[in-house]
Amino acid sequence: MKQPIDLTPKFPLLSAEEEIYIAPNFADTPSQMVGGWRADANQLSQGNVQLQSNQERFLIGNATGSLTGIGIFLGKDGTDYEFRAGDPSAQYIHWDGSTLAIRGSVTATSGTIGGWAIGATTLTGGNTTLDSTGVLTLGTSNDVVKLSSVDASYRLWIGNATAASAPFRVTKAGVITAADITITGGSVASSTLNGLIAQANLSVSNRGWTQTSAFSVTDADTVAWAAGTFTSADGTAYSIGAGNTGNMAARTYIYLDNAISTTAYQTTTTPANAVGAGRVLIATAVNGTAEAEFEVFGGIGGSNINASQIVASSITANEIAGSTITAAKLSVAQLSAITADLGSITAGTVTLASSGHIKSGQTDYNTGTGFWLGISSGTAKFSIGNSAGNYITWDGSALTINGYLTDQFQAGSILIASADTNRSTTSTSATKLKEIRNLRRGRQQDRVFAGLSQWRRRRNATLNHIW
Amino acid sequence: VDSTFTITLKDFHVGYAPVAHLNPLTEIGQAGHASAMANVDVLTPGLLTQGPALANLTAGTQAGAITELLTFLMDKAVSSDATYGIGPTKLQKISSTAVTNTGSWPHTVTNMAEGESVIDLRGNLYYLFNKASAGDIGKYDLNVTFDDDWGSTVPTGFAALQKAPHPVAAKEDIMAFGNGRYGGIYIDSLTTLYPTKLDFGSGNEVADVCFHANTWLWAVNSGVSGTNRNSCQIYFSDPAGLSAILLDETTPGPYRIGFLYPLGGVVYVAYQDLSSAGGYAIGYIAGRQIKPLRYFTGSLPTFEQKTLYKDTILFLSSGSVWSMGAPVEQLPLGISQLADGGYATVGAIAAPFGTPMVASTDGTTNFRLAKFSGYDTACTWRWLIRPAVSGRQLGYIDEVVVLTKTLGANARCDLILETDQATGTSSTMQIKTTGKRRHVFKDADIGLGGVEDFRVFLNWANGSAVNDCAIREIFIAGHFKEA
Repeated sequence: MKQPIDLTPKFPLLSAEEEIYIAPNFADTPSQMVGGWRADANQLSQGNVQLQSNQERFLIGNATGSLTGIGIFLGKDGTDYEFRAGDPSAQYIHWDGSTLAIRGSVTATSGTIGGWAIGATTLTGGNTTLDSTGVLTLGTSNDVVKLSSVDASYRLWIGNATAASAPFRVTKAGVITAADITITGGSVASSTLNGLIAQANLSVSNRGWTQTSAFSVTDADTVAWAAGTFTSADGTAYSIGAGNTGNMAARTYIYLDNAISTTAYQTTTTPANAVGAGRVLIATAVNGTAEAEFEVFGGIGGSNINASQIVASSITANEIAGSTITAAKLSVAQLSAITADLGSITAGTVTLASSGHIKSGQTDYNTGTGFWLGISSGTAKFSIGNSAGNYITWDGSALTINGYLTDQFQAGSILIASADTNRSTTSTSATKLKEIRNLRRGRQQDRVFAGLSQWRRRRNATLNHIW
Repeated sequence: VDSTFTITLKDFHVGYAPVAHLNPLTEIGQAGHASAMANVDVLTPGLLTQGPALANLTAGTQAGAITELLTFLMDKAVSSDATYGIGPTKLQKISSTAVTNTGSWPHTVTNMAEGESVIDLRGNLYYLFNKASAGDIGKYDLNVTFDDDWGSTVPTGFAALQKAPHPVAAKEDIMAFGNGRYGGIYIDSLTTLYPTKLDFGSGNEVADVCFHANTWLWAVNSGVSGTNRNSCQIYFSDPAGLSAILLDETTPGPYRIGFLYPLGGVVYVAYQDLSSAGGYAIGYIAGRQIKPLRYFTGSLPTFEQKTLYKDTILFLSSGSVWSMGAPVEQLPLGISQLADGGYATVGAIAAPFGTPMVASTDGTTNFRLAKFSGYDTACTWRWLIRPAVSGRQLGYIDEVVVLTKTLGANARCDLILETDQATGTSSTMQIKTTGKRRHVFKDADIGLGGVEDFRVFLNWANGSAVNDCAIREIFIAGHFKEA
């Protein structure tokens, strides 16, 4: 029998693993690996290492430019070729095409740098050694200067290899020992000098002092001084002889200059000449009108000053001896300028001016209660008492008495009135108590008798009067 | 009878015939190739059966949480049985069975108009999106806190994004994302955002990004959108994301790239050749070449329309789910149209829990997020056109024997022979009967006379959604006879 024809279509098919084929040729394949390197179109790279052909550069780490990213850059940067290794923000070495810059720490144990021999721990050159232990030595043997950061006591010394033996040395606390020293400038804090410099090491002009020569005025242009002793703070004493200024025409300065004399004070009219090394200004003097003036600055001292040197309005009674101011020294426009208790006037007269007056209580003639004596409206007047009650006035022409007579008044042998008080007697014989005499014809003033009538009414029962 | 012939159809896992995308009546191929198919599963080598149906996730429709088309689904679980997706206005939390519709979920993202992508990076979820103008990155701490303008306000280098597609990928502490003409980088350990780290130039747009072989790969399209020919580049950049200098590039040609998909050490590329009708292809990067593997019709899938299923690449094209790959490496690659996408307009596909899920909308008010479940019955498969003439003799089909797996209840597939350039048909041969494995059809069942050519047409419209009717082999016997 004839076999049937197989019409089943045939079509070649690859398996998936055969069909999907990645070319092994890395040149044709992005990101292929060759020798452990990934080969891209423009670079070979692995991890953080890139060899960039199109950029002509080699990058390691995170470096992406000549001064960008920590790592290593080697290659073209713009138009030149550069090298950099390290951290651009910290330590790195960089060749920018013309200059090599190193920033950060450098370690070398041999060779030279800038003419310095590099040792394991030193840089040496020209008898100079910089030791990494912390010592810089300039010179050899004991002819050296040494700077040390590690010596237990000293940081600088000169003249001996051993710090403690060096004639010049400075401790780390700043204490200086110097076999010889000349200081030509600078300054020392006053707080540092306080109590540290002996007085004897100071010029006499810088010491405290005293002196015993007494100064006195000879006349209007001469001041003299007696012999005495000048003693400085360190005890140095100079015996000074008596002297004077001579006739002065200007302010004169009396001073000690031990370079000139230690036995006599000097004088000058130039102020600057009285001070300076070895000089002590003792006093000044100047000629005056009546007396010369002087002022001594130390020791016994003393002065004879012009009143213009006293502060205005500063002298009080305390500074004035009692009973020493004479009338000739006073000149005032009014006596009232002197504040004082008038005291007792025992002599002289008081003559009032055209409107003058003496008063107490009353404020004007017959005004108020008190008295007033003086000139009122051009007329001498007097008033006493209460201008609204009982008073006596003299107005320049009339004497007026207003009020009760409260005591007896007698004109010659005539009793005019008696006080309004009880009058009584125990005598059994008649006694004249009051007597009113009518010197003239007519009636007595009612006031006089009114009082008597009143008394009579009250005393009717025991009337003892003789009427 | 002058002579007889036999044909044996098997090895259906090879999927579409090599030129089926160019000619639906193609004769080129082998015994298992198809010239056309719809919703057919050939991913189990040796079996040809119904593709998977779709079942909505709980709250996975507009009646629940899905009130808009999800435009991105994460293709991994962020935590056990939890992943995330994003739509035009909302961020969604999704489990293998449901969309969370309680508490703060779904989260309405402030000012968002186009959700673009979502990714998790070192304990936080980042969602990239566009607003009415410009774009932004939101951040969710996977606990309670949403920061919808995080990218434009918080990280060092913060800035608004371009209003553009934002494909995203992550590796260790680095997130790389497309940002229009720019490649953006976010380094979480530095809390530093570089939204314009790489500049691919004016008129270019990043279509997708992935990490492969210690290198970031950027698929960049150049040109204008729509039906305009583009060119494309695939760039390679520094794995640390710190360098703005590109390492290398590949120039596929005058294509438009849809997505990149690294799988098994190979980077697959979906791209389109506008000069060819149906000129869509899945290829791979081979050195500096893009080698096409299989072609398909429909539309170009984008970065959010890809996932892995049964070791094949699953992608979306014109509302359907496609598969490309080989379930096992020792078998040939196959491309097939595996399943329906749901509604006509599909959004994103992903398989974060193993079973693919697809987002879709009818373009009006209906939205769904559904996952593969059961069997579809809107499934068809057509074999190659096979000439059946021998000289002046026509072919007569005498017998058709179909081998199936043991059929379950209601399992059924109808077999028809389409003849003479698919202008004629045979009788319908029903492959059914519970427990049956061999189905023999004789002349009377076939009902054909002499034919010039024919092809097998399988239709599961009358099948079962529970018990599939899986075809193992189809044997056809006939004879030539002068008409």
